Amino acid sequence: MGKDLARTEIPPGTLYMLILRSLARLGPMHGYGIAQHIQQLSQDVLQVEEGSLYPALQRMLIKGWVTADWAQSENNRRARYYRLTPAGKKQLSVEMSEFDRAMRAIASVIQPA
Amino acid sequence: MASLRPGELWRRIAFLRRSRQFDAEMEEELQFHAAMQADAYRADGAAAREAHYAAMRRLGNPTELKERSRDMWGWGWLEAFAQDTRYAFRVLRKSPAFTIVAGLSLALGIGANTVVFSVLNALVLKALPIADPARVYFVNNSRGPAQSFPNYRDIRDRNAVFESLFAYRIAMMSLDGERGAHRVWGYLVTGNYFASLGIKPALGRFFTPAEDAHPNASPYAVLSYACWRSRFDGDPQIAGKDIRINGHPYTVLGVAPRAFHGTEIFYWSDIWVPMTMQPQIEGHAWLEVRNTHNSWVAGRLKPGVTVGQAEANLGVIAAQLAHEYTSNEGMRLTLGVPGMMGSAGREPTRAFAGGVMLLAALVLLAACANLASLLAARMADRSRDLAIRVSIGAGGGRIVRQLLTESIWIAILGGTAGCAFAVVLLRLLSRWRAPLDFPVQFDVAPDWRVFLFACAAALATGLLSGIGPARHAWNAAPALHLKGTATPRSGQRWAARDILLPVQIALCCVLLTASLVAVRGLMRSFQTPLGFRPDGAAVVGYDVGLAGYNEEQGRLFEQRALQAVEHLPGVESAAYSSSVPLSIDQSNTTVYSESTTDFRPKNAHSTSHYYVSPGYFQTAGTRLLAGREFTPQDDPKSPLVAIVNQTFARRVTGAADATGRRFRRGPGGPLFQIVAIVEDGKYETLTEVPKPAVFLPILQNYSSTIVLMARSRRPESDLAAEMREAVGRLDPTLAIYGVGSLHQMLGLVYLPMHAAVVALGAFGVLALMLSITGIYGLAAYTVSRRVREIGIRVAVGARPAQVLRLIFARTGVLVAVGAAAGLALGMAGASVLASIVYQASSRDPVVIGTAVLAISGVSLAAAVGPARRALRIDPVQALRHE
Repeated sequence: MGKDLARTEIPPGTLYMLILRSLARLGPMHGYGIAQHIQQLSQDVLQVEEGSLYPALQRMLIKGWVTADWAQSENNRRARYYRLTPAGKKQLSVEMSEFDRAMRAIASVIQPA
Repeated sequence: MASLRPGELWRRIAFLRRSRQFDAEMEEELQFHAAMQADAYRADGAAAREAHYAAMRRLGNPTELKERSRDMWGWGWLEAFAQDTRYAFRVLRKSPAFTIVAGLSLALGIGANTVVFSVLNALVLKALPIADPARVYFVNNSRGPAQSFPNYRDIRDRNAVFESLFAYRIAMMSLDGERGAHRVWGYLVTGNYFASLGIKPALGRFFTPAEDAHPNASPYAVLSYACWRSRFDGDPQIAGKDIRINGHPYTVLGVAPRAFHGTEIFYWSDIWVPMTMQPQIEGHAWLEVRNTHNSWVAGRLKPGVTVGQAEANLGVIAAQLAHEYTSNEGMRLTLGVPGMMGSAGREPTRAFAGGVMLLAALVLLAACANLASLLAARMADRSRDLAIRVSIGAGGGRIVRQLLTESIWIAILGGTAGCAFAVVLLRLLSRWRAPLDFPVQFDVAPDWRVFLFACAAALATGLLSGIGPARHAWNAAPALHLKGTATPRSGQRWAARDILLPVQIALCCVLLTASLVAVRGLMRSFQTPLGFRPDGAAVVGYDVGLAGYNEEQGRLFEQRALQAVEHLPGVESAAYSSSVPLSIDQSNTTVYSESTTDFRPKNAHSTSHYYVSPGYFQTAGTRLLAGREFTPQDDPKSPLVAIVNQTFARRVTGAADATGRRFRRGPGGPLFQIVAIVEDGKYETLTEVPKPAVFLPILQNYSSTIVLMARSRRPESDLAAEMREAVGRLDPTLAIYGVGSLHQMLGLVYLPMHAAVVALGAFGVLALMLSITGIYGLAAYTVSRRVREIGIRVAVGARPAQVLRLIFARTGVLVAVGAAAGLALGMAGASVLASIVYQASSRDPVVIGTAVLAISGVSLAAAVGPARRALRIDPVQALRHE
């Protein structure tokens, strides 16, 4: 059972950044909404597994990047909404610039000479 | 895990409070997620049911997901532990018999270890209650612990390594109180004693080096806290008051702190007096005598000086002193930890305490093996339960943790009980005062080290005994066990628990043999020829010097005391002497053969010596092999005579019948003629090799310390009480001590042996109890595992004997193997014991026989219960069992 869950289609290490970015765009949002958002914006390329999403959200709560509150959802269900904190915003910009650097480095390596 | 920032740590801790609602919240969150997902599938055209299942499938295992989300908070171990603990207690409650047996055997093991460790701690590990004890060292002399006082002064003045060097000596004094004179034990110390130790008085002040400057003119005293409280009612104005010691006025300067009993661990002093008062306290002066080695020396090293540097410096001084004085020939000085006459007492004590600790560790190991085999046996019964747990998703690690938690909790419970038991025992032991004519006391009260040790022992025990069964569970294939045929067929494979039982039995046998050897040794040593017969001899001791008598008055008093005792009813003979063999007061003298003219130490014979009155040998029950007893005519006016033992005759005169021959006492000293030979005996310890001893007529040699002895057929204590009264009537101010049988006076030489026997005997009993629980556990388990098989066999006509053979053949073989191995090991190990317990022999048929009998008896006793259960099995019920 562990094997399936361990597989993620999100490049390793970028899940936090994607969640933070989504929350920055959407404002307070529940886990399902975050997953949908990432999937839609990436045109279904990036599939967020629930098995990674919820542990990641807990981890971000510990880190203080997000806070969570219960609220009514759009279709009248009770849902847990995650909200970006100032620390989360700072973390997002750190992760984005690091990712950017890594991408450029990778690109320069794989580009044909 | 990344380093914890304060905010993060706080959030993690805050989580613990809402830990209970976490599951519900996660559940709701995941339900919401699935509902939203299902909505999406429905929007894509799926049927409601299909959409729901698809969403649930996509979510995967929600329990596992919740667990992983929860684990993010990092409290998994704590929650798992709490859960495991709850579960463990449920399991333990369900099988109270197992819990009690397991807990009890660990309580015994851990309790015994705690007691032994506490004693070891008190004797060897704990430092004296002085400032910075790590810098204080005892100076050992090559010939023993003591140094002569002139040598002490030279070492003190010539060394470059000690900040201060002090000398001290145990001394007996007579302290006048409201209810007459009392004999007390104290110390003679140099003036720098207290300052060197860096202790502060509870009251008043201590001695200073100024006290050393006035020979015989520093009549000051420091009282121990206990002495101040008991003899002076804790008088707050005591400092500056006068007391009378040996009939002379002394001024109390101060009171020592409560925890300080002196510089020897066993000996609790009542009083301290400056060394310079030695002649007045002891009656004979030796402070200026170079070859009288009477003082113990210790000192505080200068900061930064190592033991090696100090010993090098002392080596140079020893060489100088050996060169300057022939009496110092061969002198070597070494450092030792203070507290037990330097290395002379400490090394054997450490060896003994270490040996007992080793035995205690064996007890604990046996208890571990015991618990492990009980756990392993239970494990088999629980394999189905475990298999179910594994198949619903518990990881192997979790199962192992669960099992370890269980064994650790058993260990904690057992350890707590054992600790409580140990504390009670140690309290009693600390308060116990050896029934001796000497203030021997052991402060073995447990301290933090002891509790730390007990905790470590409990944890180690829990882990050690739980690890085997846990490993077994880890390896067990869950699927196999689920089939429900968990019972392996009989006599098939030898499992780990088949090794545990013999190991445990072997350990127990080692302990049992050791304790039997010790007890047997003690029994025999009571029959050892002592060179005199203590039975029927009553004694009283006193020191007329302490009452201020001079020699003439003393001699007169001794005559009157002897006559008074001779006239008591039932007295067959009476005599007096300066001391008796094997009592605490032993002295040696140096003799030379008549022909010797070179008086260097290599030609000297060190020999025990006693001053005895006419009739002493008859009263003491010492056999005269040749010659005559001393008579009243052997007085100062007649030639010097002596009676020697066989060893003396052989060594000093070179002839077995040495009557008529002569020897010299002291370098260039007077010649003595031997008038009789007496049988050899024991003089200082029971284990000593034959020693030379010489007896001189007390009429030719004065001693103010007297042991008055009378032989009768009456109970010794009755006669001794009458003797005390008779002597007391002659001088009510005289402090009389050591009243009782001669046996009591020898108590100290028997003390280490008694201690060894009590300790080893207790271990033997523990070992037997552990064997019982171990064998019982395995036998009971075997029966319960094979109820069904036994039922079938009984149904097809097996007779009781066959059933029993079936069940116990294997257990019996295991026990026999273990016992044989243990006995062999015990025999080998017991030779070590022989050095502690006199007359102990491992090749003693009685020991072997008793051990075999005990183990067989214990095995049978332990097997009775399970055997009865096996025989009562009803085939019909047994077959319904599964």
